[in-house]
Amino acid sequence: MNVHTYEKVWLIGAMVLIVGFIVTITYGSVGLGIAMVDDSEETIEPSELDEDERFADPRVEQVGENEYEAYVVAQTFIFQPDPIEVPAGSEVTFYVTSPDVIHSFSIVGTNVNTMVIPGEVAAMTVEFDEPGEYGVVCNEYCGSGHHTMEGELHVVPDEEFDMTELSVEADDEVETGDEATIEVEVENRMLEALETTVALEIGDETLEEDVTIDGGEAETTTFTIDSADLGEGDHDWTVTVDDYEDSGTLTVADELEEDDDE
Amino acid sequence: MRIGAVDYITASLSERMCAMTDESEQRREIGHDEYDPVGTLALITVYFLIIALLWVFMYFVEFLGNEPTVVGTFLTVVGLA
Amino acid sequence: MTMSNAYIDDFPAEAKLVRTAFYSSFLALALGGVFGIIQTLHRTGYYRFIDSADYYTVLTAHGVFLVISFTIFFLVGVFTWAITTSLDRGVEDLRFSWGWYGLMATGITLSGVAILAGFTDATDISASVLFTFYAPLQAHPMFYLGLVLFVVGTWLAGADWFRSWWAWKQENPDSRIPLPTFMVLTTMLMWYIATLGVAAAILLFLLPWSLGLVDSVNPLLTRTLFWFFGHPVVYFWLMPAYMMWYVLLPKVSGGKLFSDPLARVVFVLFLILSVPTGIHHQYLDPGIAEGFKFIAMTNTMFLLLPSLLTAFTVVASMEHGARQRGGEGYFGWLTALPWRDPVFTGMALAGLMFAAAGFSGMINAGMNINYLVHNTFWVVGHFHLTVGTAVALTFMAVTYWFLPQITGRALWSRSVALGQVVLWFVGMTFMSNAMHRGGLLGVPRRTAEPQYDGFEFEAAVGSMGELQAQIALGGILLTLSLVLFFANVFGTALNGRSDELPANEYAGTLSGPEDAPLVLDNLKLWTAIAVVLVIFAYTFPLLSIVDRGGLFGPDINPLPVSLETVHLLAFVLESHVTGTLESIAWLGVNR
Repeated sequence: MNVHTYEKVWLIGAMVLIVGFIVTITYGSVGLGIAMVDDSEETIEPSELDEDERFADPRVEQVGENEYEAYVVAQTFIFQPDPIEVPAGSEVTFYVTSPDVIHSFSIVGTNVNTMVIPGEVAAMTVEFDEPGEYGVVCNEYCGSGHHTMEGELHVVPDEEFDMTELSVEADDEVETGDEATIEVEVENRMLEALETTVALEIGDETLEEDVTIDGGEAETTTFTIDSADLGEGDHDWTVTVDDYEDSGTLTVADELEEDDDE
Repeated sequence: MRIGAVDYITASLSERMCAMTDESEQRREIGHDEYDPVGTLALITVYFLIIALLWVFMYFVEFLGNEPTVVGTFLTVVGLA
Repeated sequence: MTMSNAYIDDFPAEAKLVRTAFYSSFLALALGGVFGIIQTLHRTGYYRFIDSADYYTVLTAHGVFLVISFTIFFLVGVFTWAITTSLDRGVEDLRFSWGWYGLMATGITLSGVAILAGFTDATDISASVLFTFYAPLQAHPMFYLGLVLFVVGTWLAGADWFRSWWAWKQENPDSRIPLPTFMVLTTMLMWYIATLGVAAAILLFLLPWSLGLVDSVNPLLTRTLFWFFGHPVVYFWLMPAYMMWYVLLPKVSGGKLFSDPLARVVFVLFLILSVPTGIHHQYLDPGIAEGFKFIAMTNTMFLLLPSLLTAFTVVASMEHGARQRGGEGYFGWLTALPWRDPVFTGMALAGLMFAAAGFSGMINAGMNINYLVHNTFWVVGHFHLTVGTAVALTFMAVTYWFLPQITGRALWSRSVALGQVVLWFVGMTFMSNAMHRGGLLGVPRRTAEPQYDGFEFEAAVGSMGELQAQIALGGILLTLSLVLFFANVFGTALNGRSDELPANEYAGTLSGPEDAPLVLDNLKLWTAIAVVLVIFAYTFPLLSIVDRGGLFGPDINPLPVSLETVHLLAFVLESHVTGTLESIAWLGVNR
């Protein structure tokens, strides 16, 4: 078989291209540590995500000093949680699965992109160095509402990031002279202890209490207010913990409308 | 001058093969041994260069510049330690 | 009595079959084109008259009609022409030939009706599952059944061509397989292997599931079986175009095929390498080990080789024509080519676009860079250059050569034809470059409205608006081009019979089959190697997927197969095979 010299030259050139491509990709994998989504995660029962400890409550968890895990559910036609919030300077591993059809989880403008296949969990570890806001899209056709399937990822500055959850239980009405209580539960889902101040504003008064909440714990602060000091009428109150706020109204009445002391 | 491979092919086939095409526009007959596809080599060299350059651009600028990128947990752990 | 020596004069019955296949193909092209422009204008937001929910029915129809019916009906026409012309004998049994055509036509009609029924609420029938029909998205059983019949039709067509070759071989025991026949046979062997994947996906899983016989499927398994077929199918579209570049383009350039042996090497490489590459469509799938993905990448990268070789051989054949026509210089010879001939210009522009498509294909083949482009608009740009131009434009260009051959009528208008192919090239330049760029910004493919509430795509150069405008403009030019194409098809059909048609001939060779090692014609050997490669590339991934997720999905107990050492084993085997392959490729061409 005679092959023209020029064509032999081109054959060598073609092989150089092919081998060069493979070498580049291998360098990305081995040299730069770019990992492919793979089979490292166990399979999962798509119809039982609500009983799964990771996916029943889609959320971000802190697992190390600067390490977080995001458990994401992609389903027709939303992502949960939305937005996903993580701190800058952290390493986040996304675990994504689907209870229904095939979706994707693709962070726009980045190389974070995976198929989401029911029965499989896609795991991707990503380092977020800088704060920023990203869109998340589903780029695999998943049904008639596919084009509406979007979410957001917020990478917030480290110092602004916390995983504090505030819940308040307060009396609605008290009789003049009785004591009103407002119970403030602050949960710290970070690993480190949280030092903060729980503040209650009601009427002209401001009550404050400094608390230290260990990582993964919740503390309840109870404020007791003498309704006589407030006087009859509606009193708006606000509970503040860092950037979180809850508010309501306390009614002080001479006699409660519902007569419950028969 | 050699006319293709006609001698080697069955007679019925050679009728179908077109030894000389478009004679009206053909100014000369160039046989196998007198033809060096130097223009093809030139074109394909240009193609080679474009492909190689674009590959480098796509991988190192478009792709690696499009951070963040998925990294292996194992490597990162080693990096932190 | 006619004086000409056109195909229809020698093979009137076969010409009718080829003509019918072509017209079926053109009908699909027309439908696909209509859905294409609706979709372009909707997606870019220039003109929306359908509901966005119906966009996906339009998209399914656009995809299936163009990449299944348009391409494959054209293929069976070209291949029938190639077999009958190069073996110089009619088909063995005309009823059998019409039988496979009928089966294909019935099949695609069933699938097509199932898709189009999605536009109306009058029936429960719909199949808005796109060309890839990924479960758990489910289509009406008629859709799957139609696809099965269509594919079985192509299998029988292949059997028909093999039968012709066997009959010819009895009478010509010592002759080399004529090149066009060789191309048909190797392509069909590849197709038989490739379609096993989709046949298994449909017959074992999707059809029983859509009929309610089984409750669930393993989405990763049916998806992997789809891509077992889904990558080689692109070569099935491409091979008739390659055949035209090898056997017709040199002739219309005024020259000869530079090397028959290398053409054979190329088709052998496609036979053995097309199938064990499908996993490169699944680089971002969870549930498949990185090692398997790397193996698929290696195979895919080596699959570039036959295309890169084709680039040289085909351009050298064109250059031969140009130099015989008086062309001079390193680049000056390009001006000596017959640019006024739509058959030549269409094919040359298709080839040029394929060179660009080769580049985006190289990116798609890369494993980790896939994070950048996977399922973005980039991919759509890529295949509008490959199947949408390299294949479609070549088919349209050679139609201008074929129409007189199969109708016996002169082409209605050469200048309209020339305008048509140039317009396609220009339209696709606008459309596909904008699609590629959009993909790099993260714009997804397959979406009715790539405008989101929460964020915007940020273009470093240009803007989203500019990209949308280019796509819409491209779509309009492509539609105009189609109108011109159909004007010529109809105009030619309305012409009277002509006695002065060009003869039914294809290109001669500079280096003929006598230079090709005999082993190249050993189809059994190449098929065996292809099968072994497929077994190496797919056995372990498929076993692993079934082991993880069960044959019928997570509900069913997995097969009792232990796969502890599978990954390592597969890696060792496959790297060995890839090494062997390289040597084969080298041996093949250096002998």
